[in-house]
Amino acid sequence: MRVQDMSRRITAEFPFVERFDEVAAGLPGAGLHWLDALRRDSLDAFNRVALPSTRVEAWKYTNLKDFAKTPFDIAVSGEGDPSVDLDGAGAGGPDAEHRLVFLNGRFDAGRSRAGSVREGLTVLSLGEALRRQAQVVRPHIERLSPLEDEALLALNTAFMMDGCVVVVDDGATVDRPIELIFASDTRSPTSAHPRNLVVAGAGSRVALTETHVGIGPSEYWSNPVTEVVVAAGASVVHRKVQRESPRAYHLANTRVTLAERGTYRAFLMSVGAGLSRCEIEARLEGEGADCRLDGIYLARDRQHTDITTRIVHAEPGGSSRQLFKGVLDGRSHGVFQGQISVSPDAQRPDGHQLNKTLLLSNEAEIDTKPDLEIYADDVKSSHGAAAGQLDELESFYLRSRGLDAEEARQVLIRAFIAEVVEAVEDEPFRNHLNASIDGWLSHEAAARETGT
Amino acid sequence: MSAVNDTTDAVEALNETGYKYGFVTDIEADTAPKGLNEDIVRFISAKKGEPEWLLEWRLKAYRLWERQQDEEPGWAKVSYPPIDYQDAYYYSAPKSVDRPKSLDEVDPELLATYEKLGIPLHEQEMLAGVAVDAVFDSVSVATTFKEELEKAGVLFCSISEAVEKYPELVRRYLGSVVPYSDNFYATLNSAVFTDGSFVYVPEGVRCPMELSTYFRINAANTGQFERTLIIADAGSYVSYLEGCTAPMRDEHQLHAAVVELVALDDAEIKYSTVQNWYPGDEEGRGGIYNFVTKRGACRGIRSKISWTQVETGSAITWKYPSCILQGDHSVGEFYSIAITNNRQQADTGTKMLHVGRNTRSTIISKGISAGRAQSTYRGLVRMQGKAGNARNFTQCDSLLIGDRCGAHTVPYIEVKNRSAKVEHEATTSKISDDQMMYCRQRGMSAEEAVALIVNGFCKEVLQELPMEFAVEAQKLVGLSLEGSVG
Repeated sequence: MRVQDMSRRITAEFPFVERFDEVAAGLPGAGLHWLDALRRDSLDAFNRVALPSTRVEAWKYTNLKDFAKTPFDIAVSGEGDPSVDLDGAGAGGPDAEHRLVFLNGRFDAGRSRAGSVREGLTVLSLGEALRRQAQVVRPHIERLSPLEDEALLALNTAFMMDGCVVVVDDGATVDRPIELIFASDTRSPTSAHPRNLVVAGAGSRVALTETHVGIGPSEYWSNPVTEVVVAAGASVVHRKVQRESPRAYHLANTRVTLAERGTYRAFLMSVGAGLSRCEIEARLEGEGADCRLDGIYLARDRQHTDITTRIVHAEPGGSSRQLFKGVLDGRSHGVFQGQISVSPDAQRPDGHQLNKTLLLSNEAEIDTKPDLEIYADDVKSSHGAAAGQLDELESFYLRSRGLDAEEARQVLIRAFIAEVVEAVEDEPFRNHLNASIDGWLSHEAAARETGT
Repeated sequence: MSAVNDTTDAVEALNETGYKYGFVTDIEADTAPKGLNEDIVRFISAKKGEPEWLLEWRLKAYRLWERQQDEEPGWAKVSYPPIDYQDAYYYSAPKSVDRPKSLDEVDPELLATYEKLGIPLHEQEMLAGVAVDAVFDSVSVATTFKEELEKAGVLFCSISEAVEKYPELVRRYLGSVVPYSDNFYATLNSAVFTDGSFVYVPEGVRCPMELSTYFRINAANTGQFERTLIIADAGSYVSYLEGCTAPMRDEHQLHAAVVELVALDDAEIKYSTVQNWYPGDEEGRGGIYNFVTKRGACRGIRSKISWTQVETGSAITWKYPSCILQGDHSVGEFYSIAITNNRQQADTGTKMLHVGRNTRSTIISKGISAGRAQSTYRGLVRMQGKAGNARNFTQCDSLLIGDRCGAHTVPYIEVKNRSAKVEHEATTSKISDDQMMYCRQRGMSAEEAVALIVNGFCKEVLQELPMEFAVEAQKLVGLSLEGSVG
């Protein structure tokens, strides 16, 4: 390989990393030899590779320089206002059966709600799972760890605090969604490293709704890693809403593997955080696996929102669909990087991707980089990308029918993202999305009126 | 079975004929010692009798390049063993005391080389009305049709001659589009460029003929560092053709050219390339490393630069002909066919940088991969903050032949202006069995069928080529894919 010069790295001196020994002693699973060793190896890997600079191709458009200067520590257990009500915070709505709440990265039993015990479903916090079923968790955690050049993933493994473990037995069907809420409420810059694991057994069905939310104007960093294993013929629906505080950093990693005929449907809404990056990698490792990723990103002011996907067609006959739409206002910066990679033996794959962005201001910027990497010849694959502004003519049409300029604008923005939202099958979740979009648009309207 | 037989025959035939243009001409070269250092740069400059400012410019480039040793670009999807830049010759000129004034004065052995390559100069003069500024190794040796061009006021000569005769033009524009600090290979080129072509089309002049230059690489271990500068003054038009073949070699050869185009108000430059340098053998031994920086600046309002390329040769191609659309209403175009076979690697595309208002660009790229080749389209479209109402349309299609090759598409789209509109489409597919069946049914061999289908796939680009090139390019498309189907 090539010489790795230091301009490709950003050295960060986070206080909690320096205090590893002290911090690790209080983390879940402390004392398990394999886990202690893994945490230490991962720490070494993080120190070795360091954070990527924009000279690293995958990070070309997202700059972590300012982020690296923030003196993050790790959240102290029990921090956060106990009176804050998180009931309405989740996107799962009243329909959710199990609810797991994590405050500043730690499991909050008081706010969580265990659903009825049912056959074939295990829902535990990671801490509990490590105490009771370490043998189930271990192979998965170990599998994700030895990745090179993945500083944030390595750091998550070194410091994973808590998270959820969902195991669905073969053939089981969980008909109501499992809700996960990751809330942050801190006074000083802290970091949280949740680690989630979802294992869907052969032929099983399960849906998850994940919400990341900030309380108040706190500055924090959330670094969640979620592993999803979809066994043969299983079906997993994974919905995520990112509504972190305006000063927060959200750097998330989702890794999915699909066996033959497995299906994975993901929906992502990214609207919060000062700087966010949601990375999703799905590997279609069985014949006829099917993956669909949809999402919307809304940003304004100086927000930076990055969605990076990678779909690997490793076996024949897989299909993947991606549709991402974004609306950018103010001085915000959107990034979409989508890779479809087809391995030499993965004949007859069907991979499609579309990314469209609406720019509402002259200062907003979108950088999009689709990436087709194809090593097989019997391939149907395409991608499209487009960026533009609201259509004057369409706006005129609406105004000529009696809508004022602001109404016309909102109708057109809604229409632009409707294609993605309407495809969401779950009604409570769709309602939640629509409410979020309404909130975003009315904030927009108010900001325009006051001229800020 | 017949398809298999056809293929076997075709492959055997190909191996027998080998690379048609593979031979070495033995001409006494005036060669600088191996390696690269400040003295070599001074040697080249002195050899060419250059003015002080140009030597200084070369030295600045060399010193920067020396500091950048660790920064050889690594982002392209190509792989090759590290290049030892000290293990090459940076200057070699054919033995010649004075520049020849006519073909009679040209070394007869050189002329014989051209005959072998199939470009008899005399014939070409009459045939197509093309002025040929043939570059042999690094020094221009013959320039034709000069007088007719002079009548029109068009300056067309080697860049060394231009440094002597039109120093103010060269000084003003050299490095103004591709600065010496631009990238690793451009910096290297700026330090050691030996020769290349210079064109200046004065205000309001439509160049009376297509300008053409043929590049050859000769003398073992000589990297070629061409430098081309084309300036189209206000309201002028010029079409420039570049084509090349190179003798067969075992060792890799580095080619790091720089081409700069400048179009002023209402001017138009059309730059067409057919590149079929030696691609290496079936196992990827030998072949040219083609690391080229080509860029055009549409400086004036309503100016236009159009790049058309047919890339079939070279072991590795690293090339992104680009347009900087500075002038309002200026237009950039990029039409490309990249064919890779056996173990060739190509990472090619374009950059369209929209700076001015109402600027427009079109990108049509056709990539064809066969054998074990890897072909990548990598293109950037950037809409700057002031590029109001700018438009881009990009279409990238890839065709795969065989199951061991790769085709990759990596467009970068950066939009900073809301009224700018960018559209990108990409597809990847293979030749369908139905298409093959249809052609075979009508009595075509598998090879012929593939050539026909691929030519159809490339049609949008081929039709952009000037007539002289279009015919050659179509043949080349078929030839490059020989032995790839079965």
